[in-house]
Amino acid sequence: MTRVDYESALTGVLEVARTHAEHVDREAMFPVKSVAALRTSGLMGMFVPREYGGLGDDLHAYIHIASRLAAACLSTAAVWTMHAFQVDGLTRFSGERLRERVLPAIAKGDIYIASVTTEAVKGADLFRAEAPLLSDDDEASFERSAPVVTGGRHADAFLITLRATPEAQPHEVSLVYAERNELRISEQGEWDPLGMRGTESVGLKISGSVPADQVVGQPGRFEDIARESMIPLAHVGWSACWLGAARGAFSDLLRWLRSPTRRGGPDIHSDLVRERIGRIRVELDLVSAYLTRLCDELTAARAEGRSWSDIHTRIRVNTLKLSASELTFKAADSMVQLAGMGGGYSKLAPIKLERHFRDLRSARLNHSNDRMWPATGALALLDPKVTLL
Amino acid sequence: MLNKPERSEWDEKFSTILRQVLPDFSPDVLIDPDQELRNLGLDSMKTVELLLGLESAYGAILFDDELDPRVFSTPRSLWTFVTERLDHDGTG
Repeated sequence: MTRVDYESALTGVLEVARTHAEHVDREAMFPVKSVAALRTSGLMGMFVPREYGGLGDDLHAYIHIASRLAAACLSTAAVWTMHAFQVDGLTRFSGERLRERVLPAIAKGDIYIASVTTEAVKGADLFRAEAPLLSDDDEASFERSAPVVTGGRHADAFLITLRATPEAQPHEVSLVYAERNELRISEQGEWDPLGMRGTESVGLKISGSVPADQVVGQPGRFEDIARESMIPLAHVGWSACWLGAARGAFSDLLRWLRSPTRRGGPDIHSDLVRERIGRIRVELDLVSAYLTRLCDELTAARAEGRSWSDIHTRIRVNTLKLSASELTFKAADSMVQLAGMGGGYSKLAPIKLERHFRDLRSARLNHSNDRMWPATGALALLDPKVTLL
Repeated sequence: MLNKPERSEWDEKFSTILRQVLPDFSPDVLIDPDQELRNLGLDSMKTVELLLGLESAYGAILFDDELDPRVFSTPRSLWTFVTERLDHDGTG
């Protein structure tokens, strides 16, 4: 799909996502109609190689689509983004037979993949798993609970982290691909959060058996998939989502501020108001520049066969996530302040800032910044030359 | 903890730091020089702790440049790196 093609595919999806965003948020329900539109658009084939009918791995297309979707409905954008980076992991690390079978179906929009990495005992630590995989020559079986599975009720397939064997250490993690019809799934817990309500991230108990070739990558080496694909693409994708949502909100705010028919609200001739507008603009531009620049770097590294897990890349990926999550929420907070009680704080306000504000509050909690700041500081200690992007 | 030096290949400071940072080394078993450190739970945060621990133990900055991740493959590769750096700095 060329840029023009995916632009036109996006246009239809955006209309659906925008139409249903408020309902999805109010009811805390999965954006079924938006995802149905994504399935028929061809955009679910992001990161599926072109020879299998997909969009290929153009990172700038990835952030463009994520960002545009997020301006319409951040929950829809997050669902698409998480599917997309799962697909990249699958494309790069699964065996030939699994690739041949599932990649064309993903590109057609027939398979939406959700991620199962959380676990009650170890929390959100991606690199640990407690529930073990039991394998013989032909089959791999498991039983596992996960407190948070975005889109868990609606996914057609899952990528699931498991301890490599019953004897393995918790850090020896394998990744398994399983389709819904191979699993027994029951729901646990309830879903009623402050924001990102449409992601419907329910808790699941999952058990099942899959053919042995559905173990993705080397057994026990999920870390390789995470470092070379999923983690960088997750942070890039989520950052694009947050930026897209904040940018969309800012665009609405500026149009409202300039509207000649607006009654009440801030005076755009005031220096204070203009300074606030200027600060929001600067914050969004800084995130945009870092996001785009990092995509250039990651694209070049992949093209040259360089790893994404060196210290510099990891610091930069973390830097993007930390700055995007903090600055986009700060921008949303400033927008609410600027628009005031009547303009931005209420669900009934002329511009819909409050949903973006609630959604963007999740950014610092999602892969928590409380863990990422010290981790980034520790990595920075390993780079005394201070090699900046 | 063992009471005598583990191997002639390295000194006791080295094995003490290894055991502090990677408690998965069984206290009753000699450290295998060719054991994969990542299989003992060496992640990026523990890599930092290992380096800082070694720098503190030997009173020297062990690296100031690109760090080859292969240094952290096994106790043997890490010890080779440490001794080379100490010889280079003249602090060993």
